[in-house]
Amino acid sequence: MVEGVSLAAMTETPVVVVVAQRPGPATGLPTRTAQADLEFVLHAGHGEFPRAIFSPGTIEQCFHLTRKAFELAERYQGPMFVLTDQFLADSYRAVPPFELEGLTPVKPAQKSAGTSPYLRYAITETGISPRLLPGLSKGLVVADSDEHTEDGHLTEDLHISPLMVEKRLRKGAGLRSEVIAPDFEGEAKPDLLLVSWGSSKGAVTEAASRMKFDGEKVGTLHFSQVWPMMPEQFIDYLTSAREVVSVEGNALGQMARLIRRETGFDIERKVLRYDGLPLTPEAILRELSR
Amino acid sequence: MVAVDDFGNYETAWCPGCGNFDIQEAVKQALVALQLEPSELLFVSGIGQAAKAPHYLNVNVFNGLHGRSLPVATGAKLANPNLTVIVESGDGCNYGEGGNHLLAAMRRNIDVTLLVHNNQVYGLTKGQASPTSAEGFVTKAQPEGVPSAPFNPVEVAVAMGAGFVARGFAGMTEHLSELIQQGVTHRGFALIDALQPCVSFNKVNTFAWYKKRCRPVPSGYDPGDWEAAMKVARTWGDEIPIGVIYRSDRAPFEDHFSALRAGPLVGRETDREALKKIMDGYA
Repeated sequence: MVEGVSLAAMTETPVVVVVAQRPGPATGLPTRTAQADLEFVLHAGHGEFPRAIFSPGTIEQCFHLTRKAFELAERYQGPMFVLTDQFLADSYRAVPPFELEGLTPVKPAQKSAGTSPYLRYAITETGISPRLLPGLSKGLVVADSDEHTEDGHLTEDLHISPLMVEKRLRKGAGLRSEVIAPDFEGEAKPDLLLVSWGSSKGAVTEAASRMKFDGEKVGTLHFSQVWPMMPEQFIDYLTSAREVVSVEGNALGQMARLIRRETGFDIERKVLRYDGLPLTPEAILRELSR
Repeated sequence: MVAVDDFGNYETAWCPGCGNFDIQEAVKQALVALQLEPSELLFVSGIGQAAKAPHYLNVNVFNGLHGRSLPVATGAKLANPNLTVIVESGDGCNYGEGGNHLLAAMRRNIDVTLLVHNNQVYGLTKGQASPTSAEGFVTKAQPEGVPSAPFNPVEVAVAMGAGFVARGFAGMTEHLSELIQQGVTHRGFALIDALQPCVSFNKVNTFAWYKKRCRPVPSGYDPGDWEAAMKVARTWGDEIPIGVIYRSDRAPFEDHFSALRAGPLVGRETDREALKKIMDGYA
C-alpha cells in the first residue's frame, strides 16, 4: 500500500484506501481486531503531502464517510483513507436503507484544461490543478512519479522542487477547511470524558450510558475523522472535563499521543485493549473501576 | 495526417550512441505508419533510462514506479479501451521488479503493447546486472560474475501462450518498427523484446555483438506453430532469431467484461437505478 500512497500523492491521483486493522506486526493475529495502525496510516508514504483519514464508528458512517473520502480524493487529487478494523469490517447489523437522494455522483472536478498547452500540475493558489483524463480531449496528460515541472515532465531543477512541494501541501488547507468535528455527547463539563475513535463508538457510548444510569456525570467525544486534526473543534471539551480518558484498541494510546502532539493536552489516563478482541462496555467499565 | 514532427523533438538524458535513440526512432515510425494521433496514445513507463522514453514523445504519459507500469496500463485500458496503451520500459523494470505483473498481463491477455528496451544491464544506476545479464557477466556489483541464469522473456512468453511475442534489435530500426506496428494492432497482449546496446555499461553485448547474431526468422516461419516457436524462443547464442516468434488469437482480457460492452467506463454516467438496486438487495 505504502508505495501506492506515495505515488498517488506525487502524481496527484485520486485514490481511497480502506485499511481494516488487525493486530500486528507481520501476520500477527490475522482474524482478530485492533486499532493499532493510526500512526502508520497517518505517516504511510515517504515525503510530505496532505491526506485525510476517516474512522467510522457506525455502519452509516462507513457508507457516508467512504463517499466523503472519494469526494475529497477527487477534489484534492491524492490519497484519502478510511481507517476501520476487522471488528467493524466483519460486522453485520440491521440498519435502515441509506438515504441516497441528494447524494451526487463523485466525479473529477475539472473538465477544462485551463491552459494551452495543458499543464497537469499547474501551480495554483489552492494547490489544485485542473485534472484532465487522457484520451478525452486534445490536451495531453503527462503524469510523473519523479518531481516534475507544471507540464508533468521530470525535472532536476531544484528551484522548481520547493514550489511543487508547497503546491501539494497547499491542498492541505482545503482539507483542513472541511474536517468533520468529533461528536460530543453528554452534559457540559463532565466529571469524566471518554475520548474514542473508529469502531469503539458503540462500546464507549454504552459504557457511558450505564455510568450515567448510575448517576455519574459522563461525556463522550468520538472522532469519526482523525486527520487533519483541528484543536479548536474539541479542545474546550478536554479542558473543561474533570478527568479525560482515552479509550483505544492499541497498547500505546496512539490517539492520545496524536492529540498531545497537536494540542499540547496530555490525556494521562487510558483504557487500552490489545488482545485481539474488540473493546466492549464491560471491558471499559472494568478498567475504569480499577 | 499524423507526421513524425507531431511527436516532438526533445533533449534527452541518454548517452550518445545509446540504443534508446534507435528504439525511439522505430516507435515514431510505427506511430506515423499507424496514423495514431498523440491524444489517442497513452505511454506508461516505470523507472530506468528506457522509462524516460515517453517523456521524449508528445503523447499522454504516466511515468510511475519501478516495475509497476503494467498495472497502470491495465487499469487505463480497462477504463478506456479506445486508448492505444503502450508500455515502454527496460529489462530491469519489466523482468525484475515487475516480473509478477508481466506474468499477470500475459495470463490476462490485456490489449496492451509492452516494448522492453533490453540491454542486459542496469544503465540508470550505472552498470549492475539485470535479470537478462548472462551468467558470469562481471559488473562492479557482481565482481565474481553473475551467479544466476538469465531470464529469457521470449521463451517464458511463448511458454505461457502470450498473445503476441516478438524480438527485435535496435540496430534494425525498420524491422523493429514493423514489429511495433504489428504488436500495437494485435488485439491482446503484445511483448516486444527490443535488444539494444548500452554503450556505457555493457562492454560485452555491444552493437557489433548483437549485429553479428541477430537474424530475422526465415520467410515461411509460422508464428502460429507453438512448438516451433518454443524452439526459436530458446535459441540464444551464436544466432539470435528476431521477428514475430509467436502469436495466438485468444480473446483479449477486456472482452470478458459485460460492463465494458456499453462503451468506455470513462465516459459513463453514474447509474443511480443500479445503485438503488444494490441497496434494495440488502433489504
